[in-house]
Amino acid sequence: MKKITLTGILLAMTVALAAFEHTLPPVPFFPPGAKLGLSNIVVMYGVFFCGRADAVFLAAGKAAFVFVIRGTVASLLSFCGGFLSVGIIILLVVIFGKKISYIAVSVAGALAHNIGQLAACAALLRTAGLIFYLPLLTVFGVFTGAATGLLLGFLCNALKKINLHKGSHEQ
Amino acid sequence: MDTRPLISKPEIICIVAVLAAAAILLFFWTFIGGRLEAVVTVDGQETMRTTIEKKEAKIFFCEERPSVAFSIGDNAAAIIESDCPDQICVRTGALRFHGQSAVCLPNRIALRVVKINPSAADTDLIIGTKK
Repeated sequence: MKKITLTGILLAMTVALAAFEHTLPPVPFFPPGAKLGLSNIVVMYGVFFCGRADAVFLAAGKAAFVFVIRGTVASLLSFCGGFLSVGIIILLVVIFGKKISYIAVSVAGALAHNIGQLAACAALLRTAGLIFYLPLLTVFGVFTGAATGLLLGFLCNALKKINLHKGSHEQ
Repeated sequence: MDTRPLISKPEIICIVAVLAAAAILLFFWTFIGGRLEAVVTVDGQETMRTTIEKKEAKIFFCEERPSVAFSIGDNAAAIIESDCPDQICVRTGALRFHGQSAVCLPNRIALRVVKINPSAADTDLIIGTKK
């Protein structure tokens, strides 16, 4: 499969998962606005298999889509969270290479996403007091990050069997 | 093809450490007593600050954004009505502990619950002053 085709499919999946998650009802006992971050699975897959530039493109594409369906504020939050998250993931993969696990990358990405969003939120409202929200978001970020990392691990092992990248070097 | 472990032992230790640190911070910020007050900020400017009473809750409106209504009292504070599309602020529900906040980004309004500064508010009576 050509790389550009794969990146296009991944972007469509990111956007679809983000839209799907937005339609889910809020979960009781979850902090408001907290989500599982299913579309981050696709972004992480992009970092591992498509290349870093493509993963950054996926994050940017998702923020652009959020701008269309949910407006400026939500898009700014998605942009800040998404870029910090993909930046941290790339940094970890560059430093640790193949030694770092799926779940660790995912948890770090989820925490970075939360921190980026909270920072954007605090900057928008010019209210530093929102930092109090960070511990709670961290606790949830660890769990949601572990859940998406587990899914990513299963997904990668399953996808190995069909070898999506066959022939990509000949193009 | 990319192959990597699902999780490794040192990573579990790191993640548990982060989780423990967050839980400890959460505990100290949230559950260590004191009287609470509700603070409303609009566009980063504080517009209202009122002690949360144990008595029956009262409804407050925000002068700058009349479409947003707060309920403060009965040991809690909440945004009960807003004209924003996502309603995240209303779904946040009642805030009962220090550090909790309900935020309405479309209206740029934040409702926060904070401990009353003990040095300023715990004084019941001042008898004489130092010269």
